[in-house]
Amino acid sequence: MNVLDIRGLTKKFGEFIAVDNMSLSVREGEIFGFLGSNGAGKSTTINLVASLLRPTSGEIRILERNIAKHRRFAKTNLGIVPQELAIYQDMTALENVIFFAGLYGLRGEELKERALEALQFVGLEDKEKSYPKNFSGGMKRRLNIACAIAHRPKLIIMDEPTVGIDPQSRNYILGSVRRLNEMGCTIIYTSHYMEEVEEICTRIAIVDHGKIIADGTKEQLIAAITDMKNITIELKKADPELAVTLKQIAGIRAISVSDNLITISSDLAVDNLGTILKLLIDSGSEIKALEEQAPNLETVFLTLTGRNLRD
Amino acid sequence: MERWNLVNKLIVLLLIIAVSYFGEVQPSPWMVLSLLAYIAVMLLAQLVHPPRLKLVLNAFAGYVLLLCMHSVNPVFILLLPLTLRDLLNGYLRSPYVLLSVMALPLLFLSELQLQLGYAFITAFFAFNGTYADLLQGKIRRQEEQLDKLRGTQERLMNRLHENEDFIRAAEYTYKLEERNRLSQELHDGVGHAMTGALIQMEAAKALLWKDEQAAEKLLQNAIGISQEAIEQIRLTLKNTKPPTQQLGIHRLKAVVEAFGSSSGLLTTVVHEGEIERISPLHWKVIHDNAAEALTNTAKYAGATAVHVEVRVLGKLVKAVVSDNGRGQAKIVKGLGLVGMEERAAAVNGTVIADGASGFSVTTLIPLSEMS
Repeated sequence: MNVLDIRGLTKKFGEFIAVDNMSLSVREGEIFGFLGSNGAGKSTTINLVASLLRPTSGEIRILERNIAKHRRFAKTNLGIVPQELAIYQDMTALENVIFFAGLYGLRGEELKERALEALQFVGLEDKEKSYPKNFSGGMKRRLNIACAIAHRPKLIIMDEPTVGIDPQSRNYILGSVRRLNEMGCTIIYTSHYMEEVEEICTRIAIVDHGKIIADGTKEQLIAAITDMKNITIELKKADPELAVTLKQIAGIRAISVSDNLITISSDLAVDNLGTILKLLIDSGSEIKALEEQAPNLETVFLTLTGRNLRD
Repeated sequence: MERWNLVNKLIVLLLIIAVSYFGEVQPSPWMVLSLLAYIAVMLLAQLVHPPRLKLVLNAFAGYVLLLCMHSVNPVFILLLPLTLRDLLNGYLRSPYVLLSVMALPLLFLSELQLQLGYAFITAFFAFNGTYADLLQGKIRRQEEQLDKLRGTQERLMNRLHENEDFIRAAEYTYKLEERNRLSQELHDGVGHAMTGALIQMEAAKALLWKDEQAAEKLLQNAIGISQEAIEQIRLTLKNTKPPTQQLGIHRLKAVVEAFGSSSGLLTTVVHEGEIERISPLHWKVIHDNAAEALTNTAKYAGATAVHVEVRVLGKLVKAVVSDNGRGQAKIVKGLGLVGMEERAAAVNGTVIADGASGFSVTTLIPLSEMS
């Protein structure tokens, strides 16, 4: 089942087109990455899904129901962790979670229970009576997440939840994204940190200028731009004869030897680094340095758009 | 709508006839006459076209009604709401105001039964009419949408036909070029060799009885040349698979260079990867989009150089036209960009326009593995 369906979504601000005829589907159980540079249209898309903005045209369905017609249904099945912290500094952590979960329609005992549960989930159970103004950046982020998940939505959208926080908090958040997913939540994760998206997402869409220019698993995206990797090996002394013997190894397409430096172009799909090393060692060569340059999502983005993600 | 109105009036007329038929001991001929008079005026109002005349006739129908009601039978008042509706429909926007005006004569009625009847008819037809208007609006909107879709479909069909024509033309051109190449090679290689061999054989024939040794040598030469020619034919035929797909990049280069010399801009064209994987149709999209982007550069960019790049990636072709002009921070899509997007979309591709540093238009097209 598709948890989210977007069809022909367009949002214009005056003449400027922030989201440009976008279509995408997110299936149940996915951690869907939304990768794009700042201003690519990620947050606008999320605000449209959250009904905070009205689309200029197009349709959004959550769990196969049109959100324009089933507002309440959409609200109770959707949790949003916004990019800007949305917590009240003068309310305790627990009060914050209760307040936001209340907005999603929870009441009474259930509300309190779920709020405590959510705090526990993000590891703030011992801070329920503390005020967020005394929290670190990472703790605030975690509280922000607790506020969005207490009502147990089917779909959770996280808009850059790791901006400006320390590595520990970041790892904690990435871990909780995985746990939420294991508990059955579908997650849409937006970021311009390529490593995070690469690490946790099962499917990734690359967004640029309000359009999805490519989507698929990490492997599919990389395969779309190349099927090669480069291996550079620096030897103490490189014998040109080595090229001939190395060429026999499966997957190797081209080799050049110059100044003790061997540059190998090889099939991305073939894992042959071990064989190459073994051959070099057996031939008595002394390896000084080795580098394997396999393409990653950053390369994909750069190749497709001609720009860096952080530009 | 008008027919609907008529049917409504007919229903009320039948009601009036029924009421007067059962209500009076003997139906009066005056009753029949006034009914006919009303019907005549009302039909006339339906038939005429000028709006002002329609208004006058509707007002007259109202007057006839009041007259009939006053001097023949008060039951005629039941037709008044519909006549009022006809009279005011174009002038009063709000359905509530219309309803109030239609209900106004209620105040002047004295008989309870008549009041009830009037109120019922007013409420029913006001609601009915408003709902009909609503539906009519919906139909109109949907028809407009349908028209728009039809237009789009027609445009897309045209484009499809154009593309099909283009593929046919491209295939024909490739065949033609291949034939030219073949005949050229046969002429240059085999033709010359055979002529050479023939001359040698003629000479050998002439020498055959005078100088056997020289004749044998000449024949040997002719045999050598013939063998070479056979080898040449073999090579030519083996080499028949022409570099057809190279035509794409050559043509692109030619177009860009021509643009450069006419616009005075510095142009560069580079290509990378296995460009033979690009199909003729993809080339067409790349050409058209590049031409469009070049025109835009010349018109708006204020650039001094423009760079065209075609790269075949793993499963995509990427064609970029970028300039070093003033760029555009927030891109407003003109017809040109929309056209490029449509062309790319026809082959499942996308177009990215970026104006952050200079202006660049990138066309991404997925490669189909069949080609």
